[in-house]
Amino acid sequence: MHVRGTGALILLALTGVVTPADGAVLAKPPAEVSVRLPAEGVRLAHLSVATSEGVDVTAGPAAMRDGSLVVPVRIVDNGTYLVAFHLVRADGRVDAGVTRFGVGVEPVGHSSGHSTGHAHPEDPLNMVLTVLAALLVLGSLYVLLSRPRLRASSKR
Amino acid sequence: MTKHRLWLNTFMVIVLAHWAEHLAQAFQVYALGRPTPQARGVLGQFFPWLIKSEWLHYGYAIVMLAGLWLLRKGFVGRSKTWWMAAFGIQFWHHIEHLLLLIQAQTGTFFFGKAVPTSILQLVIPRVELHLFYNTIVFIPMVVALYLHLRPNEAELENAVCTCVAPAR
Repeated sequence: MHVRGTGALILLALTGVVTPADGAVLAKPPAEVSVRLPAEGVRLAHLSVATSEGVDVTAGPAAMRDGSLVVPVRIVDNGTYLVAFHLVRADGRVDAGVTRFGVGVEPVGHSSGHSTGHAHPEDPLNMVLTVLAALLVLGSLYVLLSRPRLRASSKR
Repeated sequence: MTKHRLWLNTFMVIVLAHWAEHLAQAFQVYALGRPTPQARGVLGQFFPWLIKSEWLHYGYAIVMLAGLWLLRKGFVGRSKTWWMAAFGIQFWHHIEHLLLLIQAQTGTFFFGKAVPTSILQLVIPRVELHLFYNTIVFIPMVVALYLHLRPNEAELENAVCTCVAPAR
């Protein structure tokens, strides 16, 4: 499918957009969850929906429909639900993320644009690691750039 | 071993450039208050797909593993012990990356989770995996570098490279 001009830009911006939207609070459970696909298509697409405890609530196989990947869900309880998607474009680029929506309640937890461990969640441990890493970088630069001269007694 | 100094310096440039990207990303999150998906470091601002590519992160883990292994012979004494400690941790880091890559590529998530999950994240769920492993690999690397470039008499005597000792 070839899309040009403004339409292409809109589709580009919508790629990876999940319905129900991230952070949405729904009065009733949705019958399905979808993620927008890139205009150029995908080589691989995966979409899963689970409770915050990790229990899968998908009720059937995902299918392509109107430029989106759609999966039916069976949700009976109020709570927070996680949507994880993973799209591999034809050129190998990956769009992946985790969003949350709530049924009857505010969704809890943080969403991530990318789910494979390379974001920087705002957590004290990660902040400590970042500071430690910055100090190590400075230390390594010092070690590399200030090589001591050999003492005369050390020269062979 | 006359090229050990050249390759070690090249390797360290790659390692420090990678750190610069991560620290730029952290600055964008913590200091500039950007949402995580919009904090893409420096290169990621111009090439957003870079930061989303699991292959890129796995590739860097492989480069680190190969660099630590190939450069090991230039290290002697205490520095070799620390360098090989870094290699051991990086080996496990690579296994964790492989687990994530398999989950990301197949869409099959392990450990009953709804997202790709590493073994470390089963223990410390909120840790940023890449940051954690790169930091604990980097600690023994920096110690090894320090000792390699500041050897004691015995280590200098046994030196097989020109990083400190004059060329033979």
